[in-house]
Amino acid sequence: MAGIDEAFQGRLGGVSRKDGRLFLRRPDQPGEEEPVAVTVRYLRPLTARTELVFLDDKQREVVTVTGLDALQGEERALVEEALGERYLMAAIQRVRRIDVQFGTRYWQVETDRGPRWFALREPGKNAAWLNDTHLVLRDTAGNRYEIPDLDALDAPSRRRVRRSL
Amino acid sequence: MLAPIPASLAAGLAAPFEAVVSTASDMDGAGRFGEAWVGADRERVVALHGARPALDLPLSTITEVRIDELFGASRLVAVCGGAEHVLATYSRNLVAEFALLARALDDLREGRDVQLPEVIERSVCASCGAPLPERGATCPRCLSRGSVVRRILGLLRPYRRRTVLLMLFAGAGVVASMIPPLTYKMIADRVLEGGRHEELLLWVTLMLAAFLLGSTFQLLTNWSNAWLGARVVADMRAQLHARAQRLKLDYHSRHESGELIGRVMNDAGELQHFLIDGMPYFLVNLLSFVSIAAILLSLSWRLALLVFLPVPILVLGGSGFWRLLRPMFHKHGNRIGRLHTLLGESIRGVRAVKSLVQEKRRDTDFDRANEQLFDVHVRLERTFHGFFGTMSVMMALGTVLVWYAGGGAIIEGTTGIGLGTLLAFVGYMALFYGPLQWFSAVLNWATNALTAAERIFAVIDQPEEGASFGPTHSVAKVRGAIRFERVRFSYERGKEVIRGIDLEVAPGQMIGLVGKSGAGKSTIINLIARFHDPDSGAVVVDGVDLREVDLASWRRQVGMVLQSPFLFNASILENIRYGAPDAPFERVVAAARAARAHDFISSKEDGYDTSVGDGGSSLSGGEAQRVAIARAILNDPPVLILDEATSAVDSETEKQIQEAIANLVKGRTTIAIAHRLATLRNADRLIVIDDGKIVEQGTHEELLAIEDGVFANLVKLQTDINRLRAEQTVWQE
Repeated sequence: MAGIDEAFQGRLGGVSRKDGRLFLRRPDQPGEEEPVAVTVRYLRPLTARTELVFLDDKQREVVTVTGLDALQGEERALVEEALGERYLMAAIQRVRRIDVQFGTRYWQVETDRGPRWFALREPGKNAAWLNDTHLVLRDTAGNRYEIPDLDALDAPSRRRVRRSL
Repeated sequence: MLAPIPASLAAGLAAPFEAVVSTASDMDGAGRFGEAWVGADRERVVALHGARPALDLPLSTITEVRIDELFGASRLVAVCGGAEHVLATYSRNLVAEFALLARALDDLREGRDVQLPEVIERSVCASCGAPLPERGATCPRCLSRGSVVRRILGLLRPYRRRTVLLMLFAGAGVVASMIPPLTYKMIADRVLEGGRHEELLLWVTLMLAAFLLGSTFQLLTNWSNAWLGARVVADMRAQLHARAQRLKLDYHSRHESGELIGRVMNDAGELQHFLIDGMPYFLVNLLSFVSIAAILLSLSWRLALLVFLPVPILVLGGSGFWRLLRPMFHKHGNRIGRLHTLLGESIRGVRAVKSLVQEKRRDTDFDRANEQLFDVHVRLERTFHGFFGTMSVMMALGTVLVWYAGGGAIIEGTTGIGLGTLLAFVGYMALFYGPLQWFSAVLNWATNALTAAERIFAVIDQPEEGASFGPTHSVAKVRGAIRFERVRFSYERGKEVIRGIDLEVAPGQMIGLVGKSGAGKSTIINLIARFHDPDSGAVVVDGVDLREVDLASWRRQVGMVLQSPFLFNASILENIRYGAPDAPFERVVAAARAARAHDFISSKEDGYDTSVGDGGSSLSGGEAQRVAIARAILNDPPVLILDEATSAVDSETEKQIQEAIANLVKGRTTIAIAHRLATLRNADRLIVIDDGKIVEQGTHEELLAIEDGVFANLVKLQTDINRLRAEQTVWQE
């Protein structure tokens, strides 16, 4: 087992993409010269998207790293593309309207992925403030939305959010 | 067809395409909210994002259709050997639809017919497009309130006489309350001004009588209403409990138990509150509001108009005020909840807090939440008082206007308004304005009560289990031949846990199910007990499809001893004969003896009368196991389902449980989820399950002999663990 201070010392290299899948080769590890099919995840997808872990087909850790600094150009773009395909949480840019009906809050919002209308219930459970201005919501279907910085929204949107939550 | 592909898009495909199944996604290929379609015919599957086909694959090249759970969305992937193609990315709104599509694609690939269920639990309302408060719920925005009200009133039907009586009391109460201001007028006009002093006593008596009658009728109204409201809610609660007992287990696995308990208690309570307090208030005040308006207009329409002047302000102000207040109430509730959680953690987790030395941090967290609650509390109270302050000014204004105009009219003496009319006006005004400010509050309240009622009806309207397959017949005593025919099953659409199982168990045979956790063993026994029905294929008993057998008559034939047996909060005796309450005590003791439970029960202070506590909490794990075994033995079922406990017990208890189980399985068809070596050895046949399929079967020895077999490996692992445990035990000693 790696020491506590070496958790993110894994080395990256040899990223490729074939047939819709991401492959990783770890030349520094003896016996792992062959590229393995991996998926890439953030360790802290909500609070800090800095550390990444690569998992193989059986969901076992291949390597954990801090950031993608070790990668350049094409390889880095491939990993970023894979991350973009997996992390699809919409960021709310504008809150058009929040109305409460029968105990359910209906939000009409503009997000970075287009307009959306969703229902929120039990905000104590489904609305989490990660800090004073960073809000993550889970709607009744299980979709997630975030407001990375409430103060960055326009005044009416801010007012609607503050009044509702 | 879940959602048809628009004809204009299908026309753009290279070869003619007639979709057998298709659905729409709510995200485009780039993960933006938009539209895309996936469809398949018998030859190929196509994905369309916009005009040009994004993918067009022959079904024959696909080796697997897989659903990937992403962060905040999901995607449907077609695996073609080593290559993967994303057919569609979609939000969680569409998980049910895409799970069905994935199944349908599998069916098409294997040349089967596509079968789609009639009802799909959608998360977006099919008619108005609004997001639903819960998957499969009726859309509250489209809900006809009239129909819910009619259903609630329908619950009153058995109590028609009392309901009519209630109405009469309420009406009489309103009439009585209208009288006193009229007596003011009579006293002023006839006695004080007209000089008929002898009439004073008459009018005062009438006034007193009206007050007394008014109060009496109000009391009677409230009393009969208290009875009716509580009656209706109690009936509803009973219906709800009865239904909850007979719901399909699918419902229970989809909903947390707290949710259902909440419906039975909270929603019913909310409704009761409204029916008892809100409804009569609303009815009585509406009635008196209209009558007073009529009386005022008949007394003097000029003054009446002055009285009506503040009404729009009161009504609009009232509804505006509640719109302002409602989010504050919600906020207040949430913050109280937050404080509760923090306080609970601080107290229950006091050891953890102390050992991690975080008392200060807990203080800070608590103080912060406490201050937030303080803020919203102050704002709430201030808004509340501010509103009522404003409203009383409005009402006072009306009074002032009436005195000014009425007084002026009397002085001028031209309009026929006398002192009596003015006094009557002032008297009515108090009755008139008072309820106005509450109307919108009560309406708001009604909305919540209607939602609660709707939620309750939603449960009551759920289908009962075992009612889906046409005529059934009872079985008296089965022989116990059980057969699985190509059984497939999923709890959640898209995640199949049983993936095509064929199995044959002869009467009296003992089968041991072996496999990792999550392999599907528990699901197999759930299917035998018919807690669920297979998605496809059939479970057949003595040659009859289980779905054609009367459910209760079948369950009486199946004994179950589960890993953590559920005991009711009652005595050991009552628990043993829970399934056969009329069993003579002698048989109970015999069953307990066979279950090796007689000794420990006898040695307890209260013997068989010992209360097991909530959920059996006052018995040890080994004791509870044996009580459950005694319960199964007493019922003498021809089929037995046994889920062995994995928890370690001391060797003496272990030996007794083994003996109890040996007594239990004698002469019964037994399906056991086996962990213990003794059970594995005793089984006639072991079935090794992995990932929802049977991978190996045979006797203990046969399976051990398989080189690198799944079972052989499991046993090896188990032996290693046991050796470790044994070593630990030695060390502890």
